[in-house]
Amino acid sequence: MERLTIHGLKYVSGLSLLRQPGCRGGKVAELTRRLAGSGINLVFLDCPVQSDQSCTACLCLEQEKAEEALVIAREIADTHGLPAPEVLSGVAALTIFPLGQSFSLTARIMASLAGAGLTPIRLGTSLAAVVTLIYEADLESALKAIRKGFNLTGDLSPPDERIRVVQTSRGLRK
Amino acid sequence: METVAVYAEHPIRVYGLKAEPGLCLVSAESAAGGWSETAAALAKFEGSLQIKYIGTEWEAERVIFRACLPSLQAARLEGVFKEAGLALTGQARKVHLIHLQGPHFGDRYGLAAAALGSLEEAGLEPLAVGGAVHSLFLAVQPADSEATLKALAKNFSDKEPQGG
Repeated sequence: MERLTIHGLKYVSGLSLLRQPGCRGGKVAELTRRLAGSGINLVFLDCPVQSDQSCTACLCLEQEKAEEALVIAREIADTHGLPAPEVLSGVAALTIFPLGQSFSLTARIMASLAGAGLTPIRLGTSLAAVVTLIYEADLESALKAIRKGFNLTGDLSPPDERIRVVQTSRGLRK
Repeated sequence: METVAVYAEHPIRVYGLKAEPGLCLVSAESAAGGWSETAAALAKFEGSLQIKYIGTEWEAERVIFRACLPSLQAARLEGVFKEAGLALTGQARKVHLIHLQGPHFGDRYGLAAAALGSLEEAGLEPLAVGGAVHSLFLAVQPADSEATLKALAKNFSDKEPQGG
């Protein structure tokens, strides 16, 4: 099997994953609105309504905001009679560019991680990349597995984040 | 840490505001214990599928795979899943996909809230919401597509800002 070429590999560590079972529709809207009110950015979001109509909202955010987010989620869960939310800390997001609408790339990322004995937490794609949430403790092994499984081009993106963008509340509806 | 941009815009500027029709959501699952064999089997696929979105979640007992792709390719993906030992979960669901992308979307808070708040006000519920890197996507029932775009237009715009 020919090795696929990827053009960028980045990671962000120090993340937490907030999971809220039974949260869909207006309740997800309420949760994201309350988190936005506290200036909490969502690094990754996945809220599918499954075929059996079940739904667990998964929101990945900076670890230092996790406690605040959990308090907000608990209030919403109590109000609507939802199961208690959970927070998983020690999460990292591994981003691999480009996706290019390729099923093979995603499948091979999963196979590379599995081959290294790793079980990810969540995976999602954008138009430009595949993002895999993994346990922070697995980060070194995951980076090694991806570098081993793919051809990385020379102009590799910096693997860690060194810039920031600021969103102010003035432009957002409360 | 260097600050490269500050945003305070309303409506929120996006590169496009339209729905992609003719798609469907396919989902399948496998036992968590055998996931590495499943991944290896899926990785052997070398054909072409125009995947719009893939989501995968690893739970204690099972791994759930979801993909959004053109309806005409759904049967093919279902075949790939079956060959890899996955069990399909329900029938493929027809959807329209709306991608919201804008500058630095991955680093700004409140974007998902603005999108979901728009839908909530209009009494609409998407079948899936996902956000990764600079993309926020909404998979909606085809019948809700037009109303969803109209609702989103209250908070998002693909027009150049006026004046200066």
